[in-house]
Amino acid sequence: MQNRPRNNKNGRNRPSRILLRWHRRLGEAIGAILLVLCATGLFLNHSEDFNLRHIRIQAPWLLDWYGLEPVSDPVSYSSGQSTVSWLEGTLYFNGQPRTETAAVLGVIATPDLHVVASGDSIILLARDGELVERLTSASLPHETLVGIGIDTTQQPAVNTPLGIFTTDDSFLEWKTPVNIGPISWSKAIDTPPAIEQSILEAYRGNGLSAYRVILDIHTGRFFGDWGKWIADLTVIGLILLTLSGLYYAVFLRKKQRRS
Amino acid sequence: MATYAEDVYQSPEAFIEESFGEQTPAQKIIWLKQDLKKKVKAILGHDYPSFRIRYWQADRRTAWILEEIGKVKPITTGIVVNAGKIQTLKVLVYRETHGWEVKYPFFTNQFKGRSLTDSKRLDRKIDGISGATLSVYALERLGRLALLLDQTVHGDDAE
Repeated sequence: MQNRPRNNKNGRNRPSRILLRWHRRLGEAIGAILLVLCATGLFLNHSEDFNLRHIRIQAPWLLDWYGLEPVSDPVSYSSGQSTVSWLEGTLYFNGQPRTETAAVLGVIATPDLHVVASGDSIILLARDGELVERLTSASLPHETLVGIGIDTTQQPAVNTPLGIFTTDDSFLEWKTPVNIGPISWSKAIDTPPAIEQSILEAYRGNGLSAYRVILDIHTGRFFGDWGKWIADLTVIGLILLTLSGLYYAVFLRKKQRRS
Repeated sequence: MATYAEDVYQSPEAFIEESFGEQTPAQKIIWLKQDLKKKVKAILGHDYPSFRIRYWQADRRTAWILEEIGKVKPITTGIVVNAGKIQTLKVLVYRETHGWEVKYPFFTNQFKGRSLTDSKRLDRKIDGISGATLSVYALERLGRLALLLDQTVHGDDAE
C-alpha cells in the first residue's frame, strides 16, 4: 500500500477538510445555544402577537433567581385594630404598601391617627391608612427619634437624645412634660401570617413579564455576567460559522472541482 | 437610618432656623381641601402625597418644606416666600444618582424674586441644566407650589 504524504492535498489534511472540521466543531459547540437564541428571538419578534408583556410569571424559584425576595423579615407594630409594618424601606398598612420611609421604630394609635415614628421623621396615617402628613426634623423636637409611646394622658410622646417630649393631636408643638408618668412605649409584634403573606406579595409585585424573562434569556442576562459573555461568544461563533461556510462554498469547493 | 443613599445638604430644621433666625414662628398647617387639592394637582401633575402641609409664617413671609420626585426619588426642598415672591429655594436632601447639580446656587438663585402668574406659572423661565432635566422640572413645580400655598395662606388666591 502506498503511504500517503502527510500534507497530501488530496487527503484529510487539505484546507477544505480542515476548514470543514473546524466548521463542524464550532457548530457543535454553539448549536444548543443557537437554538435557544433562535427560539427566543422568534418569540420576541412576535411579542405583541403572543402578548408577552402582559403574561406574568410568579414562580417562586424564578422570583428568587431575580432577587425579588426580601433579605429580612417585616417588622410590625399593632396600632388599634390595624397592623403597621416595615420592610426594606417600605411602610405597609395591614399588608398594603403605603410609602417609603426609614426603619420604623414604633407606632401608636390616637383617636384619629396612626403615628409612625422612624429615626428621623414621623408619618401620620389616617385610621384607614391614608397618608395625612410626613413630619420632618423641622417639625420634631429633635432630628433623631429613639422611641414613640403614649403617656398617661393618652398623648403621643417621643424619646430623643435630649429627653422625652409630648405633643397633642395636632402635632404642632412639642413640650417637655412636667411630672411625667410612665410612658407606654411602642414595641414590635410578631407579624401575623396573613399580613406577612400580603407584604411578600406586594414586595414581589405582579411577578415578571414573560417578555422580560425571554429577553433576558435571549441576551444571556438571565445567567448573570457570564451569560452575557457566552451570548457574545455565541454570536461571534455564528459569524465565524457563516464566514467559514461561505468561504468553503465560494472558494474551496470551486478549487476542489477544478483540481 | 436612610432607606436609600441620600445627600443631606441641610436639615429641614436648620433651614427653618436659618430662615427666621432666633424668632422661628410656631408651625401652622394648611389642609389640601378640594379646591386647593385641584390646583396643587394642576401644578404637580399628581396629588400631593399628604392631606396637609406644614408651614411657618412671620408677617408676609412663609417657609415650606416640600418634596417632589425628580426621576424616581423625592427631592426635599426648603422654600421661603416673601410678599408673594420666592426669597429662597434650597435643595435640602437629594436622593437621585444624577442631577445633583440643581443644589448649586448658580441654579437655585434663578428662583429668587420669582412670582406666580395668573396661569400658575413662574413669571420667568428657569434655565435648565443638561443631564438634570427631571430635577429641574421638579424644583420648578415646587417653586410654583410654594407660591400657590403662600397665596392661599394670605388669601391672595382668588379665582
